[in-house]
Formats: sequence, structure tokens, C-alpha cells
Amino acid sequence: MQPAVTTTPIIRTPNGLMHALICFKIAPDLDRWSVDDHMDIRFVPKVLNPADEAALALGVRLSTAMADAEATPLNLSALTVGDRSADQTLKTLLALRFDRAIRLSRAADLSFHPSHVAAAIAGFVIADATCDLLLFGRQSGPDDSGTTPFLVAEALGWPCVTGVQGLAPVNGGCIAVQSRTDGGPLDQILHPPLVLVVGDVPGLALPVPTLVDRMQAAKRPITIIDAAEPPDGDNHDGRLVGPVARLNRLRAGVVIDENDIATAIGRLCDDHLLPRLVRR
Amino acid sequence: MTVRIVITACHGIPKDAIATLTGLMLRSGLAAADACAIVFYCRDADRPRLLAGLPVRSALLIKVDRYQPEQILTHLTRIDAATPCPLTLFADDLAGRELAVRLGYRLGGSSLTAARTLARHKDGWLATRLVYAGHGEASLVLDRPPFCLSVARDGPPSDCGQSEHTPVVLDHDATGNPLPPWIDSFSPGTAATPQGLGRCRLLVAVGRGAGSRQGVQDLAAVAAQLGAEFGVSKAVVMNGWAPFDRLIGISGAVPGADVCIVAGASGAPAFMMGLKNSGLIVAINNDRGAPLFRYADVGIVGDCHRVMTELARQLKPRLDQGAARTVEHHPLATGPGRNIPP
Repeated sequence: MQPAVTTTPIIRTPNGLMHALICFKIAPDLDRWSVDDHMDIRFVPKVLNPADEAALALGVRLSTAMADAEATPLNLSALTVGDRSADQTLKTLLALRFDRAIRLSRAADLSFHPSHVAAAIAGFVIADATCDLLLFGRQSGPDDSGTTPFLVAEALGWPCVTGVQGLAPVNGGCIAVQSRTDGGPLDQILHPPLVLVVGDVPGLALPVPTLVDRMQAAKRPITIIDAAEPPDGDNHDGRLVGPVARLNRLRAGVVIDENDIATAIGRLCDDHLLPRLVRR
Repeated sequence: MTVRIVITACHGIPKDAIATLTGLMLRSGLAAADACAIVFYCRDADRPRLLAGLPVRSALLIKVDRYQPEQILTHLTRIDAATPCPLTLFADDLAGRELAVRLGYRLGGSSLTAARTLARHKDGWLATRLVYAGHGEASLVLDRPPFCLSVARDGPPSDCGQSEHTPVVLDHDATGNPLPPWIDSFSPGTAATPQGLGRCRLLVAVGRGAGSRQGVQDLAAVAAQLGAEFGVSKAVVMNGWAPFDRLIGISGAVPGADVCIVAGASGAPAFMMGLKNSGLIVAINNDRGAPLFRYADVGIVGDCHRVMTELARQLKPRLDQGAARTVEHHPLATGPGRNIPP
């Protein structure tokens, strides 16, 4: 793995802190996409990926918990790979008292290249040499591959925990990790360094910064670094062939039109439900 | 050996995963004669049923203390070093996705999650997967062996019809290993998991249109009146209106219902994916333009609370009546007039 090329110097935080680096993606908001046969999402408005927002919010929550417990202070950094469309979010995160906001600059669309994204992140973590906890959202959309955290964990040789629901400080530099597995919930006390993949956590969202915090954050710079390319032989992705095909999952979609609900329900029961639910 | 399938049965027999893997193998022209399985399990009680339905020529059983991905990856890497296999398939659950990607990396090959189809290609394998929140399907060529894939749950499952006893070529007890140094301690947690929904006759699935926590509870009460299973969309869970174990969709349960009534949901693809195994889908939404109607067989435009209340009023007595008649005519019925509680 090649280290990232640093164009803006990173100020190393003194030792004695725990460092969390939280990775996020600015992704197309497909709820606002009017699907057509062209399947072109380049111009769909972009938002902070909700799964990554959960990871960022969990990091903020852990930082607060560590401060409240007077445990080892947590240094929070946010990182994204991409173009300047993420800068507004990075500024917001600085306003939320993140210590660093980092963008690994890549102009190219890396949607189908998780190995490239993983190489850039792992390259940064190796070069930076401060990270203890590396947090990700579970995936950038309902059908995205969700592979980047695993590739980063492998590139770094770090253990990985998926389905993370909660984090709490523990004495001795450990972290209490609540997670959800295929077989049920799991509580673990773990030693960093760790890759943590945050799962679906109900009600978890970033707080809104105050105007004062926003104004102060405006003066703080975003660290912009050229993203590392994956070394030769380190590409584990499939190669996209042809355009993305539109899927048609439509059914008959017959709407029962009646003047009143009771009559419509009567028809629904007689014509559709009872023949299937009651054995005659 | 052409293909290896990895089953993590540490939490019981994953019958759905086995059926899905079997379905992909059959559709891809992968023969059981060229396949072997590696099954990780924890409980001796599961052992007699671990190999049922597996479309393979032989199997390796490995007993572990619990599901721990790093330890399982170590086993898989060692096995592949001793007996290389060009293609390894996993289920597309949390474990399968992680193992597929990480094993692909460790073996220096390529990986893909949630593969729906798989076909031979001059450069390796051509696989498809859903993208863009389920609106589209991408085709990807995997050209760097070995290939490690997790198989999407939305493909048609199959029974391989394998009735013969699958020979076990290795039965290894890997329990009793010390914890990895990065784990200080572990214990079962208390959070809910989406495992309560499975095969059922009638399912009521509710979206954000329920309006509030109370609205969701009201609709759950209607579902209970009808003797239906009850599930919700991710938006409902994320609002804290229902517990996680009721979640339906690509990140929750994919129940199979004879009839599914969807109330107050917009029809987001990730949610509808969880209803793909439903027989009849009935849509209820007060917006006639909601995408939900296009994914349903039949629909009613109206307020979901009003429609569901009226539906319970009309349907429940007729279901009770039908159930009673079914019992009367059932050869095991002991007497006339015996009724089945809804």
C-alpha cells in the first residue's frame, strides 16, 4: 500500500489521546431521482449518506461520553474521498467540534471501484499513523456493495466489527462495542485499533451546529490530500460492463375505484383476499 | 473442485441461505459433483441436519466456539492454501458479505457482494447485482481468480433434491481456542434482531404513512385482529415507532406471505425487496401517484388507518367463518362446530 501524497501538512495531535477517524460519502439522494431508462444519476442532488451520518453521530456521542466519564479524550476526524461537493459537509463537521476535516481528492467517479476508495483511505491511515478507531457507515445506499470497510480492514490488517449499534469508553484504553450479528446482539470489550462498521441505529442523527460554531468553523481549513491509487495487483473489484440496466419489478397495479371505502373493501375481500386466505 | 460454498451455521441451520445458494448454482450450471461445502457450526444438536439440502459432493464440518470472522477467515485461508478452489460462494447475510470480501482480498482474488446471477465469461465470471437503490442492475466481470461472492437473497431459491448422504471428508473440532488478543471479553447483547418474520399466510407491512408511534401501534392491533404477521419499513424503525425486529426490507427480514397488505408506505425499492416473496400484494396509500401501487397487484386509495379499520371489520368475521368451515371438513376435526381462534 502506497502512502497518500500530502499536499497540506497534517498537524499531528499529541499522544495520550484516542483518535477516531470517521469516513463518509456524499452520495446521490435517490429518493429525489426520477428514474428513466437512461439510468443516469450524475445530476441527482447529493446528500450526506444516511448510514455514514449514523457513524459520524456515533463518533460525536462517543466523544461526549468520554469527556463526561473523564476518560481518555477522543480526537475526532472526518474523512471523505471525492471532489469538493463534500466540502460543505466537512465545514459542518468542523462546526460540530470535529478536530480535523479531511478530503482525499479524486475527481474520478469511484462508484464501482471500492478498491480505489479503500486504498486511498488505508494509505491515509498508514501515513497519518494516529488512528485508533476507524468508523464507516454500513453502505452508501440500499444496494451499494458495502465492501469498502472490509477492504480497508484487510489492507490495514485490523480486526473489523460489523453491525455496530453503540460505543462506550472503558478503562484501560478499551472500547465497549455493542453490535448486531446474524445470530443476535453482541456486546464486546475490544482493544483498538479497530475498524467499526455502524449498522442501522434508530434515531441516530448529527446535531445541528450553532451559528457561532459555524462562524468559527468557517475560519478552520479543510485538509485536502491527493488520494492514493491502489497499487498494481491490489484491485479486487469487478469490472462494470455495459450500462446499468433498468429493472422492472412492476405488478398489475389495479386500483379498486369505488365511491366509498366500504364498497372497495368488499370487492377487495371477495375478489382477491378470501379466495387466497380461506380454503373453500 | 469448481466451487466451494461456505455456510455459517453458528446460529442454527440457515435454510433460506442454502436454498438461495442452491438456486444460483443451478441457474449458473454449477454441478453438485464439482462442489464442496465448508460448514461452520457451534452446537452438536445441529450436526445431524447441517448437510441437509446442500448441493455438494462432499463437506467439511468445522465446530467453532462462536461466529468470529477473523477465526473463520483463518480457517478458510488455510483450507484454500491446501486445496485451492477458483470460486467460493457465501450467503448474503452480515457474515457472508464480510467473509466474501475479506477472503477475496486475502487470496488475492476478486469479490462481489449480493450477486444475483452468475455466468461463465471468457475472462472469468460475469455477475449481476442490484444498484441505485434497486432501480437498476449492473453487470460486472470478475477476471481475477479466485472469486469470492455472496449470493443475493432476492434470487429464486431452489431445492437441489439432494437426498443422498453427503460424505463428510473432514470433521474438525476447533473449539477451545483462546480469544484473539484484541478481544478483552464478550457477552450476548440485548438489542433486537430482525428474525421474527418468516413464512406466513397474511402479513401487514406498514410505512411512514402510519404517521406516529401510536399510528403504528393501531395498525399492529388491526393486524393482530386479522391474525396477521406485522412488519414495518426502515423509516418507521428509524423514527423509533417500532422495534428493529419488525424491519422488512433489504436490511431486514424478507418474509414470504401468501397475502401482503402494505399500508402507508411509498414503495421504496429497498422496502419492496423485502416483500418480493409475497403472493398477492395489496397497496393502501392516500396518494394515487405513490410508486407502491405499481409494485402491487391490487390497491385502494385512501387513508391507511381508515382502510385498515374497515378491512378488519369486513374481513375478520369472514376469516373466522372460513376457518371454522375448514375445520369442520378437516378429517382430523373431532366434532362439528369446532372453531379455530384467529
